[in-house]
Amino acid sequence: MTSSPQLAEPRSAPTSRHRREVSSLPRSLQLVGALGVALVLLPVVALLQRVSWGSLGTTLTDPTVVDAARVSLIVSLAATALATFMGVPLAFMLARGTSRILPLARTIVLLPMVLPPVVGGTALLFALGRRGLVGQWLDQWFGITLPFTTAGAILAATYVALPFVVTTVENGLHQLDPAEEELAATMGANPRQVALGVSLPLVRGSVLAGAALAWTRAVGEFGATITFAGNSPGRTQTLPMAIWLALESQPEAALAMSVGLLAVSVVLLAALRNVWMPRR
Amino acid sequence: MNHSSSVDQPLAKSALFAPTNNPLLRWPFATLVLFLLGALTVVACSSGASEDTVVVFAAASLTDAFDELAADYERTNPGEQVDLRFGGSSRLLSQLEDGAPASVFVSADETTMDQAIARGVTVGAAEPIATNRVAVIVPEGNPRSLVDAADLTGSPLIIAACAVEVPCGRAAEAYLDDLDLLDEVTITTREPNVRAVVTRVTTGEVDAGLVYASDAAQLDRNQTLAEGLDAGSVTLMAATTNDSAIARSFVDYLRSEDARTLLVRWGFGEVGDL
Repeated sequence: MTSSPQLAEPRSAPTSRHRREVSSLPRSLQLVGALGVALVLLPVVALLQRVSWGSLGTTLTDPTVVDAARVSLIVSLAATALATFMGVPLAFMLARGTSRILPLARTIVLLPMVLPPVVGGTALLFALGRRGLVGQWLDQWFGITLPFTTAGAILAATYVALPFVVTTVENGLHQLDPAEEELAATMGANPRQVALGVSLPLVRGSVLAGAALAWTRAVGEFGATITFAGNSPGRTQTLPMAIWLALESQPEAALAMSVGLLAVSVVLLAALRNVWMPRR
Repeated sequence: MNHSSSVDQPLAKSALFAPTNNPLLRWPFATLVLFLLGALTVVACSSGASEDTVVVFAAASLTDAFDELAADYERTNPGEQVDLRFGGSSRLLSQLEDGAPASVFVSADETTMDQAIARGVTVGAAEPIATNRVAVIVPEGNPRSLVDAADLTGSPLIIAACAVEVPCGRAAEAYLDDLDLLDEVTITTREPNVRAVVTRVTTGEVDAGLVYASDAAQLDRNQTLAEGLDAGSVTLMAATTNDSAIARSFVDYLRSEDARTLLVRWGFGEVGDL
């Protein structure tokens, strides 16, 4: 997470020098590194080897799977939009603010990133559930019940995805040259114009990277969602949930869905490699 | 310390990356191998099943009852220990298939035990130990003033039941089907095991839940709306999953008069009742 994209960094070192560095790596480092590659690769190979390719199409078009995929898509995209909408201003506050409580605020905002998702979901339940701290008033005054609804699933996914936007954008802001913002300010731009007209365009790469990270996190969300929003087919049952349940009775379906998600992840990694990898 | 910290800081940092005489840092690979060996030793020592401990995989519906049963067994068999793991029956079965180190498997229904036998997980015969029925429960105070199972079809309600993958989910479906309510009752959330349904109800997050009579028995009497009779009733089955003496001994205990009395007190039915 900390290695956020350094978009401002100038292109350095030609590739040939990089190659030479790699070949002169100590043997021990290469061995341990290879171990790491094996650890990640082995489960993927096992998955691809076990899945029955012939029935993949029929399994993936099963109504349950299609429903879960639809819910996954809606929930993760909505959560990404919400997390970006709230996360970017939050990152500005943390990066540019001068208040003394900001370090504390940062710790609290980043909490969902380190907290086990199930704990997050439990906390959400006691906050916004029907008998929760705030949820009971939502229920009594407005008749709004969040658990077991798509809105609840979106909320849970936003909760876990938000810190990824905040840290990525905050890092981007810290790497900006303050001179540009100062210049704009001395030329008479008001704070809003500086933030929206100068800083935001300069960190757009970080915003994109943060949103991408948030989206992958939201797609993979399981613990907080099942705890807070339950397992409601067609409404809160996302692909990870469907996979988890299918593993008990229809391992074939679970495998097929896993391979489907794997394919999406690979495509995503390839498409966004420029966002995630520091440029060389 | 404090007065010179700003000067010391860069020095300390560069010293960290300077050539070192510390053997741990000079041979990182050897250090790593040593560390891994150490970790493996610890793992190997801790996971080796002891001869006088019986690991029992039991259906989630047995959670409270088996805690007491295990204590009773340990009291009458000094020196022996019962290690209980609870979960949805189907999940436990798939874990057993994947080589989970358990000696006894207790399923919530016959279907799951039949699957276990078919997949070669069990050793020896499976024995019925108790029965259970479907019950409809509501949160304390019955906020929606539901009267019986037919009310579950009424105004938009939030209802929890088990996923159909687990025994309590199948039992709930059979129960509703018997009442001709299967198509009319909308289950809002399908939980992975019966205890999760109970929690949804007791925390008031749902208006009603379909659970087992043994779960309903732990709640206030007013919280049970209805109980099923034959439809949706299940027989809990126990079988050994290896041929250790202690596994056999524990399954024998589960069929004893003592165990039966305890199970009935926890709201289960006797095997002959069905």
